Amino acid sequence: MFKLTNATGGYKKTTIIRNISLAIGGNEIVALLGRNGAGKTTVIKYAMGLIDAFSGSTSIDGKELPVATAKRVKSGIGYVPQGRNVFPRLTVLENVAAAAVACGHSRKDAEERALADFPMLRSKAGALAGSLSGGQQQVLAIARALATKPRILILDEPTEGVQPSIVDEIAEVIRQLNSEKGLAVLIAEQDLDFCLSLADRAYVLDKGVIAREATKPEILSDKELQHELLGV
Amino acid sequence: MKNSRSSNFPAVSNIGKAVAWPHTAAAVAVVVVSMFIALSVDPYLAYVATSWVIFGIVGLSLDLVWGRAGVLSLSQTAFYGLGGYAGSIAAINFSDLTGNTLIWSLPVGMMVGGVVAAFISWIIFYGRMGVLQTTILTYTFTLILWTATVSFSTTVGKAVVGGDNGMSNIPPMILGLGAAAKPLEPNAMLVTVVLIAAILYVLCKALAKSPFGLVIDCIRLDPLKAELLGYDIRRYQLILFTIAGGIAGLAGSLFAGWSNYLNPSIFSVQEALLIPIYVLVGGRGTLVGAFVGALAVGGLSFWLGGGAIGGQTTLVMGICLILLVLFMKSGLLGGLSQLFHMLRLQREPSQIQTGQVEHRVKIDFDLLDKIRLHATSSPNNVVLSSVDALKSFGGVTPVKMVTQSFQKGKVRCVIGPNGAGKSSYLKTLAGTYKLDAGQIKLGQQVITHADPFDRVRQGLGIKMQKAQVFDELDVQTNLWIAAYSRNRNRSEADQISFGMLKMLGMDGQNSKPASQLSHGEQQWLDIGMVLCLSPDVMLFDEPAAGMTKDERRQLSQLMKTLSKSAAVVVVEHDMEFVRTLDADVTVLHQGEVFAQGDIEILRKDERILDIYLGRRKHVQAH
Repeated sequence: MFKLTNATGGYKKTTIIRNISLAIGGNEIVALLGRNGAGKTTVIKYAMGLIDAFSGSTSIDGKELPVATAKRVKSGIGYVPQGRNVFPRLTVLENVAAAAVACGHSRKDAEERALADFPMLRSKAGALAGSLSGGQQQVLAIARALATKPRILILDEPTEGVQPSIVDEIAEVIRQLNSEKGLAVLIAEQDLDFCLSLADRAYVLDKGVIAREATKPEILSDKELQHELLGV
Repeated sequence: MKNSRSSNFPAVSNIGKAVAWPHTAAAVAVVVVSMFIALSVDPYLAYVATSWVIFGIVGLSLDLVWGRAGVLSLSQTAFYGLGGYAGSIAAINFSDLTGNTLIWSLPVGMMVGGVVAAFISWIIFYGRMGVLQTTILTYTFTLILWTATVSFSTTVGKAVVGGDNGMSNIPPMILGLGAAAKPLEPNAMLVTVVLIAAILYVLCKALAKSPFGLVIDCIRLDPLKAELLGYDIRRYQLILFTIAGGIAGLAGSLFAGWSNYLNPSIFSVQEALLIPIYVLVGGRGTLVGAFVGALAVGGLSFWLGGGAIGGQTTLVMGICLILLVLFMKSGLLGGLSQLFHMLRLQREPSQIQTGQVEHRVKIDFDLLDKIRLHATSSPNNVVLSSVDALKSFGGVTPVKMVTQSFQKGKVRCVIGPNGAGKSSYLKTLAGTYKLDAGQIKLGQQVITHADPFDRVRQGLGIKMQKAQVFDELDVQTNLWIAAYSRNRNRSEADQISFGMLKMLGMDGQNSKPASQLSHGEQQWLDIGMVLCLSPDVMLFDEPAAGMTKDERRQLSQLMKTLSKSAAVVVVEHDMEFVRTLDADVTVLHQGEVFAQGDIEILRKDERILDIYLGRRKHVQAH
């Protein structure tokens, strides 16, 4: 169980998110929704220890996570940042290997698993990540995050700038990892269709606080919620 | 508080205006106090302190190019030395005519420093060299001068430049006129130099606050975006570098008048590296920091040289520098300002604000019309075209013989798989990639070889895939600098940027740094900047990324509105968005035009489903 408890944080002196509490069970896929600037990315950065935390805590199975981002990753959070941030001057396999080795896992296993999970990367295994197309980079970023053997995978806008057919493939892989390996997933997205095709429930953010917690059917049937809070 | 959330703020901004009064008053007070001190201190200290102020002036010249424009130049001491030599030669030969030395040495020193700096910066900036190359080149220039001056001897009139022996008999600083005029006493000399430094500082500060300075800031933050707003960044950098060179040259002639002697060591490595240290110690980018740094370093070394701490001057100075770099990364002034900020926040903790301001875009047709009013409109309906455009990088050819023409009236969408060459094609149109073959025309004009800023001035605007905003500048200034680029008119830029701010629904966030905006908001800001230019052709690379459906609807409406008076080209992956645009669609695949036509027909094309669209299995599943 991954938990954020009363998370309050922001940049320097500006508080952006306040009293965010959310919980994601062992094999759940949960969406983090909200308009632009509602604070989705900030919540994720809070969880990763990438912004100033003013109060609150992040935990996995009741155990509070260390402050340093690198230690959080080792404790089991896999992170795919918005804009992907692959290492452009490393090859595809080196990207995966770097993540695995940094967390003390076998390089060979990680590389093999990445190519098995994402067949699309096979023909590009030796290519520099910077030369990959946007969609391929997104897939690589997910493969790299998985190489840290996370218990929860956090994805920030994974479909942005990705062609529709690759969005399909990404959705398929996430679903598989979740159902077959019990990986918990938190997705922040603007693409509601994509999000709700995967997630069963969602937290809806508005102006830095959680405005609603809703299940998929509730969101789909509540037009007002869609309009007011999600800008659909 | 500067941040105002009210919607009825005045349509006049302070952007691009000269130094504010409180600032000037503070500067005057500091100068008056310094002069008072300068007159009362021990003459020996006054004499030594004069050199610190002179070094501060050289530091100021470096801070202009390094702190403001982001280019570390190691040739400021070269301009300083050349200015010193040239100013002294003038003073030796001509000061007998007037008695006064400074009216000869200062202008000549300044001019020579400026001219040489202009030449060097012409090579650097018009050769489009990178930041690192610039540092290396300027360093090499200084070293060449050092080597050359050691063996260079010549006589210019009464002045003897004696190679390694240097140049002696340089007349001291004389302010009075006529044969009876006397050299300045140390205290008077310090006062004079402080006054000159103060004037230079105020002028530099005014320059930094002017639109020119604002463009320089933009170049530091994102040179490509500055160019894509229509600014010829090379020209701005050259002018700034020339001014800085002139200031360094002037400092050199002051130094020569102070020491009465110059030798090639002025071009040495040690001298060259001392200047960045002054700037770092004081606080880079602050302008006044250069003086603080020079005084701190000079003062400390003076005190240590007097025998304090066992005369271990170098050791102590080194340790101080390491500590400063470790713990006060923004220098003494930066450290002080952080401390001040912290104390103020402790007193006013309520300043903390929660959440973000909600914004909704509302298309303002009047504003768009108003901006269009001054735009250069193309008489021809075909406003942008490419014929057999080809671009390759090594073995990869992202743009293969693409022939397209873009008109007003209907939005054009370019779709295709990731890596199909869509962004590369847009970049060849905007000029950030130069074509290997083929032709690009804007209106009747062939622009194949034109620089990006030139294309923008001729009526092209582009929003790149990644939102480009000047992240240290606030939202309004971002829009202002785009609007100012059109006619270089401040009040027009004020009006347009205020209007655009409102239209984007960001009037509550006008003074927020762009870096604090969410991804989608940055997209809107970038789009707003392009609109402020009011181009005839607008290229948008994935404008809807990170936007909600509601915002996408607004964006779609906006694109359709714009397409009535300009050619609008949109690259997007969101097919629903593409459909709402009611656009003609071009499909690119592997760098080539793969298909073209109506989106509804293309959506049924099996080949396009396979290479690009997929079959949305995941959506059908739920």
